[in-house]
Amino acid sequence: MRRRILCPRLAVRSMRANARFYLPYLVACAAVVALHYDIQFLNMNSGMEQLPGSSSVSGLLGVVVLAYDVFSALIISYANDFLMKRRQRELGLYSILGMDRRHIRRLLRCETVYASTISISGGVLLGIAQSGGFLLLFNSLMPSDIPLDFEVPEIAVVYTVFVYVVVLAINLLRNLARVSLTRPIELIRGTDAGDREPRTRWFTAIVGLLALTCGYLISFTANPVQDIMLFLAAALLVIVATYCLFSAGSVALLKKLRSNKAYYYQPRHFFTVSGMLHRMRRNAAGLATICAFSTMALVMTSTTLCMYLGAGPAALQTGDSDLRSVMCAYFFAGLFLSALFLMGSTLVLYYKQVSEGYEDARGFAVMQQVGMSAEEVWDTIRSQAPLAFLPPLAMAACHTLAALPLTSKILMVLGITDFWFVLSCCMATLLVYAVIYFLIYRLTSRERYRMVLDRTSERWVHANE
Amino acid sequence: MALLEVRNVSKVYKTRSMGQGVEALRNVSCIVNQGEFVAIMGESGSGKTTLLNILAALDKPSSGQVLLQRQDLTRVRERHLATFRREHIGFVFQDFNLLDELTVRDNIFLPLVLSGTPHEEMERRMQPLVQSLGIGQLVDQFPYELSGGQKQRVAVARALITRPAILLADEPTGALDSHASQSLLSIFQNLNARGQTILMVTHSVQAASHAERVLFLKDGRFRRQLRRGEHSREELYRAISRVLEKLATRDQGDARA
Ligand SMILES: Nc1ncnc2c1ncn2[C@@H]1O[C@H](COP(=O)(O)OP(=O)(O)O)[C@@H](O)[C@H]1O
Ligand SMILES: [Mg+2]
Repeated sequence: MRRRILCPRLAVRSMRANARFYLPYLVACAAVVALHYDIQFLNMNSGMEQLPGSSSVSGLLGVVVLAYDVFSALIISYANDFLMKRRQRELGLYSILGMDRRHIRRLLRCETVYASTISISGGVLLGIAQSGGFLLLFNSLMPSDIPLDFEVPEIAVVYTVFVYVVVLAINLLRNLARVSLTRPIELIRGTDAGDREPRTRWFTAIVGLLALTCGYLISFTANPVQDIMLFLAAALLVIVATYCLFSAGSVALLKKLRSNKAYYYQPRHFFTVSGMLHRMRRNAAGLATICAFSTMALVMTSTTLCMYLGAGPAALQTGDSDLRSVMCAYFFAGLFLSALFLMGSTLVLYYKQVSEGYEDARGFAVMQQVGMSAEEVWDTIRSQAPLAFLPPLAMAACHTLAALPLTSKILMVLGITDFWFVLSCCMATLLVYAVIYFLIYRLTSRERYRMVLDRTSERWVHANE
Repeated sequence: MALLEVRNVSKVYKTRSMGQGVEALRNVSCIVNQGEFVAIMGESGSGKTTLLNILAALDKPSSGQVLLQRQDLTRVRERHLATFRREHIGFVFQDFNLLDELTVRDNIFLPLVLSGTPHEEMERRMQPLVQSLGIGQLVDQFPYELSGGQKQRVAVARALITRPAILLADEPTGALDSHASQSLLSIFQNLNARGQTILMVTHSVQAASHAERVLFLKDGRFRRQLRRGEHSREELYRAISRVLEKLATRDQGDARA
């Protein structure tokens, strides 16, 4: 009996102790769930059938839901893995202190039950609250005499809950498998494993460059209207290229810089190059993910913006309400997916910052001890932190611009022939996105610096014990 | 000639929980001469780290003065402190404090990089140093690939590459096995034989017995002092043990009284 009581209490306590990682995870899950509900709310709304062109609208929204399911599952799994990696030490400690695996598994099950109850129910409630706003927007944009009504479609709730229960359950199974497969001593080492100097993977770097060239070439030469597969191929190539270049290309470049002694051993360059190399090794995948998500958000937003602004009025003039419905549906599709990718980028960014904060703290203490003033150390940390977060944005902007020929050919079919208009939609989106990205970066930086300070003082206390 | 002079240094840690704070050092004075190898002995909590941090200007005393080469450390301006520390003081820690993301070479270069030393000069200084410390083959490896003893020798190289006036060591053998401790201590003795001033803090009798002079710190005060003089290391070892015993029994007497 006692065990049954112990476990939930321990679960609550460890969730609270890990609030810095758990809270963003819960918030992200809830936000993802809420948006999922909102798409379903529109899609399943009983007034939908009365809309002009309703079959193509719901067809489109169906595809959006599918894409949304896949990507949101990936984002949640990423957050879950981050959380687990950070907690390996704690779990290893439990098992060394005599908690057997059965207990650890029960602890994880308990936590998952709590986490999913909180985030899914919270998410659905948030989604219902938000759906009023989406309803207003939808009604004001849709060319229909019969506006949609506010309602809570049961099927939307059930579907949303079902999808995320499945996603969280799959993650629980992965976590359980991980606990069963690793020895406690490895759990304890957990966070430090894989902290090796990477070999320069020329092959991967070259594959990345080739994939990027091919992807861009397709965009500049092919006609996606004849073959939509080309669009997907280009997107896939660019994503592959992004991962290759971030993980291998950056390391190759930085190592080249490091081998130039006269350059490398100058104070500024020394910390920048060694710091970047270290970060790239650990964060390449995360940064590539930020880049990929940002690119998708950017392409999607700029294209739908262009469609809406460009083709909307045209449809209005011709009075083609079917076309307008489809435009509007595209607009919502872009809105939902962009929001999802933006959330994904934010989450990855936050976790990157927090984990780098941990590492900064150690370097901070050591550098002070070898003769750097506290201000100098802060300067170093502050000046090099943005360097790791600028490349994903820069590369996403580059990808977005490179996708312009492709997207403008698609837009041409819809009667938007003015390339300058397409370009300015794209630039406006880029600008807004850069501002949002910067704000998110600043907000998460604050958390990171606080972390460095906490950990640093903790260190001094330890050192003086 | 007095290289380092500690005059009436006290340190009170103000804590939120306790009103009057913790008195870690009480009116401590001592002198370290040029070329000496001094050990400060004391149990855990006796104030050794506090003293060393103050000597390294990593922390400020609540009162008193610290003079290194006649310059008062407590008066050095905050923004010159880091440079001062880098140029005059070498520091070795119990847990090495190497940066895992840098190669051994770059870890050793770190203080020189901060001073803006040209790369050729760094290389020129490092070569004889790593040879004498027996880590010449390791310079292109990373700290996580080394044993504890090797890491500590890298830390010594990092501390010495700036040619500091004094080498401060806070329990440098604390994380090492007996073999590695032994070899680190003979390195210290060799360095000292070549003129390096060393101040080492430790709670190991074994480690302290390598020094020329041993100061005993207890509850934030110096209680006794031993000089090696013409005696052997073994004799010093026994003498240290006796003093520790006496200090312990006297305290029991105090407690009873
Ligand atoms: N940062 C600190 N804040 C409060 N008290 C401290 C701090 N550092 C050390 N102390 C206290 O000062 C005393 C001496 O500590 P320390 O110098 O670390 O001893 P040692 O290194 O000999 O083990 C101890 O009682 C310790 O608790
Ligand atoms: Mg200590």
